Amino acid sequence: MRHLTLDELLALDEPGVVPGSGRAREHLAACAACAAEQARLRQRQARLRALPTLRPARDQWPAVAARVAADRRRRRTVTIGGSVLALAASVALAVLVRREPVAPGADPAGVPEAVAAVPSQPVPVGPRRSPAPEAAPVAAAAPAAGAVRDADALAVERQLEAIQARSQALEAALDAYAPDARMTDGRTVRIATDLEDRIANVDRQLEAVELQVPARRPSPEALRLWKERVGLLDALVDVHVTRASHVGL
Amino acid sequence: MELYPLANAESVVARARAGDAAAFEALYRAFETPVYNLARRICRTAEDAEDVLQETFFEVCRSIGQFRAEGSLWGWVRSIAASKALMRIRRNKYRDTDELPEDVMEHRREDAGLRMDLEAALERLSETARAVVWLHDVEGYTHEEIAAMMGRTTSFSKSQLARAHGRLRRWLGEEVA
Repeated sequence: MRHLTLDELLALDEPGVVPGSGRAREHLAACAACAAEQARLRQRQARLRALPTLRPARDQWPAVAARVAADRRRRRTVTIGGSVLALAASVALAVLVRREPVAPGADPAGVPEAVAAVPSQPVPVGPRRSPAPEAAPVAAAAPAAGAVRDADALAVERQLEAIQARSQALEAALDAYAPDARMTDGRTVRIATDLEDRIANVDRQLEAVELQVPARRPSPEALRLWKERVGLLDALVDVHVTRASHVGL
Repeated sequence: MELYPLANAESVVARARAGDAAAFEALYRAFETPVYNLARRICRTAEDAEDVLQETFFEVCRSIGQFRAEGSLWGWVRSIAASKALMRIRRNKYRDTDELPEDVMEHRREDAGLRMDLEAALERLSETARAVVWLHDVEGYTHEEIAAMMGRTTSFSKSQLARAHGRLRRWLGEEVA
């Protein structure tokens, strides 16, 4: 008499009808040895489920939080970069709408000031790593007809572009350094996590400011927040580089 | 019923979707232990399990918007953890003891002349076999689900389980002469 294999015994506990299971059940009912084998198998499975629960030796949340914050920061940079590009595009569109035709032979230096405000190159948006669900809608519509930038708004816009470029450069430096992939001590993780949280808080405030400026005019408040963001990124770079220098990496 | 219920789960998920850091941490605290336990039982080392734990919750935080509220939150988190653990063992460079010649295996089995306990026997299985045993017998995944996660066939999962139990039976001294 052929006894049931482990495959056959295991198959008897699978949901649904398994080919040959009828014959296997008949054998099981008549064979004490196979019935005992099935009991040992089920007992072994029950003992597996009863094994003690293993717990991590260290709290991994600070490391997870730092990665999440860094990821949100990267996605935020892409979102804001996209908004700046949209702003530049809408300004360019407004200028095209408003621009007076230049008479043949006229001095091209007489081009309206608004044209000079259009960046000669698109603002770099940085590498797009993943879709940004918080992406602000692209401002495809032109600002109100006749919108000519005053000097203050123009100055704020130029400062914004410069500070955003600085922010992207610091992000790129952090990415190149890849702090998440390096061993860190608890103190460095805590300081870095705190800075990441503060950057995330500034990002939330920036989102709120953008929502409150429907015409997407450059805002002194946005400029202040971007400067704060760059300050925090500078500090974050210092934390990682200083620690690295200290331990000889 | 949720195996690992999270108080105010709907509210926590909604806040997490809005980017609330405290909500992310609440998700982590609720499922840290079962995720680590699953990872540690599948992976060979505690370091690998910690990496899987981090990668799981990083993915949970990034993908919380994709969680369907009518499903089981733990079921969703666990599927991510299982997937990350399986990816980890695929990347590992450890030798599978399954691949040792049978005569070597027999010699090793008889070396100590002692029955192993279940923990030791489970650790001795190859990572693939141990993963199938844990996912099927403990976590309750079907062979179809395990095969899909591993990118293998249902037959592969079934044969791995049977072979694993054959080894466990022998190492635990449960073989009947």
